[in-house]
Amino acid sequence: MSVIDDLQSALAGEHAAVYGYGVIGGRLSGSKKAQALAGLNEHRSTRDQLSRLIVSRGAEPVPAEPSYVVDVSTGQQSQLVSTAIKIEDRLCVRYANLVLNTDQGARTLAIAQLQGCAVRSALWSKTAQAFPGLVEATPQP
Amino acid sequence: MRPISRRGVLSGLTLGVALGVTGISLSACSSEKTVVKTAVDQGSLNQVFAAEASLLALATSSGLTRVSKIHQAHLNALTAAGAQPPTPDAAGALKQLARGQRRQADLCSSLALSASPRVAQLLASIAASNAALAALASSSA
Repeated sequence: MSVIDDLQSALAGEHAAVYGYGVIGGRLSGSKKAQALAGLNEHRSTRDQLSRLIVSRGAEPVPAEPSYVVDVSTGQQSQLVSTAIKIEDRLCVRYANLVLNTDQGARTLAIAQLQGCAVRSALWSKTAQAFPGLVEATPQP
Repeated sequence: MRPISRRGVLSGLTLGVALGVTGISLSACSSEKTVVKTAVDQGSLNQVFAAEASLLALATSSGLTRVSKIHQAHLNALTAAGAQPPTPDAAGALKQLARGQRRQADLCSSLALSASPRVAQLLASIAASNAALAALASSSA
């Protein structure tokens, strides 16, 4: 995959994250709601950053889908938190792939966003992973 | 019946004296526990205890069994004399840990920028993991 493909993949993930955080943020309350809204703002900012980077490389950024499937069937806080963790963990994989590119702009952004997603995932789950984004390297319990 | 040799008698006497001295020394230590009343004594004992505990940890991690035993004996004697082990500063230790993890995340991130793709990916993931650990440590401190 080219650097543009990896950037577009990350952007598609950010579109989904913005949508997902909007859905779960509207159903959470208290400090968890504030945490979701902070995540929503960070993903919006990254989405815009990625769009600019793609445009600067001469390509057209992928648009957001009209809607995404977000499982909030039970509406319980544990399910909403679990959805937030999934959003962050999936993005970790996309940013870890983006790091493989030697394009400095893309790699710099990917390293920073891999950290951002790993931190948010850890704050939701109250546990950190040994190798965020690298599924095959994670030690099994 | 074998006659007791002069050498055997001497050895027995030496052992007896040694035991006697040890007994005096131990009783002195245990009576010291009740005697320690000044703040200066208490402070001195506590300070030496903390230093001995560090030395014991270093000796143990270096696999120096004999040296570890000696430092452990010092700690036992200090405790018997009234030293009070310092209360662990859990919050301070967590802050220190978080600082170290953040430094490690920064180091890995900066090295990942110029590394070859696979090494960059590994370093970026370790950076993200350390950033997540630091965030968790900060939130519990």
